[in-house]
Amino acid sequence: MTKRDVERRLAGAFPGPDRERKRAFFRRMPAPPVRHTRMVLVQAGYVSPLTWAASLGVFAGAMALGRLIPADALWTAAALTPFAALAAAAESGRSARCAMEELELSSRLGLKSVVLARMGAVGLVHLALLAALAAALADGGFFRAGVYFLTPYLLTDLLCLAAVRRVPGREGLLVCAGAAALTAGLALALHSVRGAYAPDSFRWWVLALAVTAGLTGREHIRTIRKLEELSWNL
Amino acid sequence: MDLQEQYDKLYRYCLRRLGDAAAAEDVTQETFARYYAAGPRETAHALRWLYAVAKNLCADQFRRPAAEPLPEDLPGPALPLEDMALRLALASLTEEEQELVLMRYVNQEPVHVIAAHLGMSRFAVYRRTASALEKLRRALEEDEP
Repeated sequence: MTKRDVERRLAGAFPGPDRERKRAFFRRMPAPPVRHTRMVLVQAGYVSPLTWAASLGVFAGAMALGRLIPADALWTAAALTPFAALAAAAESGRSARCAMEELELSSRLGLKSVVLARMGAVGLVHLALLAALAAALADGGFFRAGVYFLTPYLLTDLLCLAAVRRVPGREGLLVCAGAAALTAGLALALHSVRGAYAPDSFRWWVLALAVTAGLTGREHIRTIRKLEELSWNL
Repeated sequence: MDLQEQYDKLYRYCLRRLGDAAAAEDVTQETFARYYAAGPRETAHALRWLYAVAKNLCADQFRRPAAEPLPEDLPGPALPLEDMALRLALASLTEEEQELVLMRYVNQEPVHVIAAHLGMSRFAVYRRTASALEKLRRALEEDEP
């Protein structure tokens, strides 16, 4: 008799618990609560690899362009950030596009929590990448670069959220792509406006950021409400 | 962590300690009820926590005055004859060796969980498990015709 034989005999020697009583016990027990950080981490694993790749690609591209042409680093990077927002918006509508909405609505955590957790994960990573980009390309200060990058990002986020809410499916994604291209074009066009990226015009950027952030926040609340309505309709 | 799978492992752990199916089930359910009440934990900590609580609850069972057996009490799950031979062989091991063998080969717990539960190094777990398994093998060989 070998040790492997003993291991095999051991594995089957101890009887298991009574299946019926075990099932009855777990039915009585409440589902254990999930911590927010754990939920975000778990849901981050379900974010499409394409979203992560697109986000990293956009930020790497912005960083590379900033290094190659340092004089134009701010406006070129600002014109690229809308495409990172597009990746985030595409992720928010993925449940509907992949016909997984009903299944996720019936899950224990619900579609709202799942989408919020995924958006939270993508948003946090984007914020960290934007901060890294601003720190790397901040010629006139970290805060200033941050405002230049965040304003087109949030503007795209605002337009995409509104589009995803109104136009479901692949068409919504196409509208989002159009919105991202429009915002990127706007950031590029602003470069040709004399003094748009000059320190004197910075207060207008801050104002634009504040307005965009407020409107984006309102759009997020509307999107969450829509997900709640879906839950009630199920 | 799959709690249903852990339930089976905890049950076997308690069954080995208490030797009584009903008591093992009571202790297992009490352990899980406390786990639910205490809130979620990280997987590695949760396993250690479950084993530690189960161990303490098993010890509490021995401290309680023995219950008067009722005539309608049903016996625990009957083991096949081959398992009885294994049980006899297991009885020749020390308490710690039995626990090591059960956690490693029956419950298939990772070495770091066993080491944390028994308060010994990973190397000691490897060494003592191998020695216990060899002892068990010899006992089984002696027992078989």
